[in-house]
Amino acid sequence: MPNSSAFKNLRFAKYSMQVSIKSIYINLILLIIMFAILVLSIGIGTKYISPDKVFMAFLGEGKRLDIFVIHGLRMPRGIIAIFSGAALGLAGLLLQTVTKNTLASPSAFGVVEGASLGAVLFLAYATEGFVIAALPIYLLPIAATIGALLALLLVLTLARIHHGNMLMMILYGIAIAAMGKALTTLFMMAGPFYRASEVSLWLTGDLAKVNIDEMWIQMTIFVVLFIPLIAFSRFLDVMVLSDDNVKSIGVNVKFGQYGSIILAALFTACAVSFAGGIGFVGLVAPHLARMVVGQSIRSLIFSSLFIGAILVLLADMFGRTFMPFLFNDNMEIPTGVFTAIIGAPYFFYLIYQGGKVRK
Amino acid sequence: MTHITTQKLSIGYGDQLIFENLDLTLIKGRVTVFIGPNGCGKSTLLRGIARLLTPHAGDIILAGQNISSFSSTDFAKQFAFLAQTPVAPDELTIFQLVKLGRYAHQSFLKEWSEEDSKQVEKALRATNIFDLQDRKLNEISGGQKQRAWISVVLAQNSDTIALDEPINHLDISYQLECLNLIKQINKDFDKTILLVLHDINLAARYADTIIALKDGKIRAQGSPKEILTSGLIQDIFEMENQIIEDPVFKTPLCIPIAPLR
Repeated sequence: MPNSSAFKNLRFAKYSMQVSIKSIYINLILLIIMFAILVLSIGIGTKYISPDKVFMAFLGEGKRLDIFVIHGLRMPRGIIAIFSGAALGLAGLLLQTVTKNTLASPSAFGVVEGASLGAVLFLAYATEGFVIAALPIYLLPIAATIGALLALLLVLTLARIHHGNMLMMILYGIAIAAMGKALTTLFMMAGPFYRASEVSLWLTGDLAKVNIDEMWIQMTIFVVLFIPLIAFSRFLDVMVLSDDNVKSIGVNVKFGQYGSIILAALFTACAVSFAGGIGFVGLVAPHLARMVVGQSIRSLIFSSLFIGAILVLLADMFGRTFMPFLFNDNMEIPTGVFTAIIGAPYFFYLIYQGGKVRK
Repeated sequence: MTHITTQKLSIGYGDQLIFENLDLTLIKGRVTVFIGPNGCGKSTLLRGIARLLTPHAGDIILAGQNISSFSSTDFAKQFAFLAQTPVAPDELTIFQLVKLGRYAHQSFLKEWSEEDSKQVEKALRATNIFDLQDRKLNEISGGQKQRAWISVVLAQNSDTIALDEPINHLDISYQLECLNLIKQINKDFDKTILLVLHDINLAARYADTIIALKDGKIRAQGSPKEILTSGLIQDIFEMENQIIEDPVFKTPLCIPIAPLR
């Protein structure tokens, strides 16, 4: 007699293979948390607006001033924080999965720095009225993407000399990141002087100057990138096996790897172009996601996305309230400072753990 | 019937060639076992045929077609390979592992079909782990784990299955269990089996054809009874030995006497 419960599992394999019910609930909870923090974060500022009024303003009701402040100023900032964090979380997930290396992330591989370098070169030399060309500002994401891709390909090509040894990958990443930072500073100093302070603030990750047009552009880019990500999830799912196994079950490994890497660079650029050089979210988000939903890639995609968004939202909120609250000073701390304060010690911890291959 | 041939094949790791101008013919439906001393290239050859290594020169033909011209998925539908030390996360269940064998038959839009269900069930039953399918990989024995991996290559539903030293890390009774299973798969499902084995006597018992390799050359190819002589064993393993008839299975049995190197 066949084991009936086991048979049932097979009959419903169609559904059971995708995502477990438990991880759907966890992802829903994360979504709700993200939304709650968004509402809270929009309310906090020079003029406090209570959550219920924020909610009303979303629906276009309430005082006109509130609606103006929320729609025009604070909501774009919150939404951009969400999509930047989500994009970084996904970039980190892609890199960790495809390199089978838990230390991989856009910042550990110098991708954030590469994107920043691309963006700074663009800002300092190619925007209106500057040295090389006068290109419109909305081309900045392309410059950031090119920088991100170059940094990532450089790290991975160098690491191939050592047969993809993951510690070597990290060391190369650190070297590339350092070089990217140095070049960024150099070009910034050598560029038009009056741009330097602005660019330098942007580099640590800064959401203070975003506007609603940028919000729409970033949302569009994110959605466009999300489609190939879902198409790649089947490939990412089997990356848990050893390379020989992956190849022999019929996976085009090269195509999958390069595709995922390019996608990770694009996601990084999608974040960096709008929110600046926010570090460590791409490292931490996939780790936290794995803790709550396990290994299934489809669940991980959504939880890395939500957790990344939550991290950047929180960092932005603290950045805005920390100084005014403690020192009664109106200065804002750039978002990237807070993500680094949380992320860098976590990175130390992971290295201390020996950078174990994800099992 | 000819199934796989290599034509003037040169293959190796990096710049180091192990085989040069190798011509080899493998017959459909048989269990072919590669034997030879360490470093003779038996795994290299198998990995080359499995498309895990790219030849420096020459061709490998599978069912009339050069293997380099197959797409990844088309090749996997015809040829399955089980690596020497396969790796999967411990928290995967047997079922989750075995379904990965269906990768080549699925696509972005066709994620799971009735056929997938059928083939996975068939593979789990053939390897006798159907009732264990919800167990995690860290909850089962070494022998069960090996059967789970064989189930993966079975689910792939290819005509040919290659296994690189599948019994290496198993104890003697699991070794027999595993080889019996492979033989049964060969008979019941009419699959062509390619094996790399270290044990000459088990090779003699389970092989239809043995290919004896040394220093990147084929020293002998044929049925165990035809080719397993003490001269051949002395040649490839550099060991004084005697061949007698296995009293139970009537296949050649090698008595190792003393190393000659």
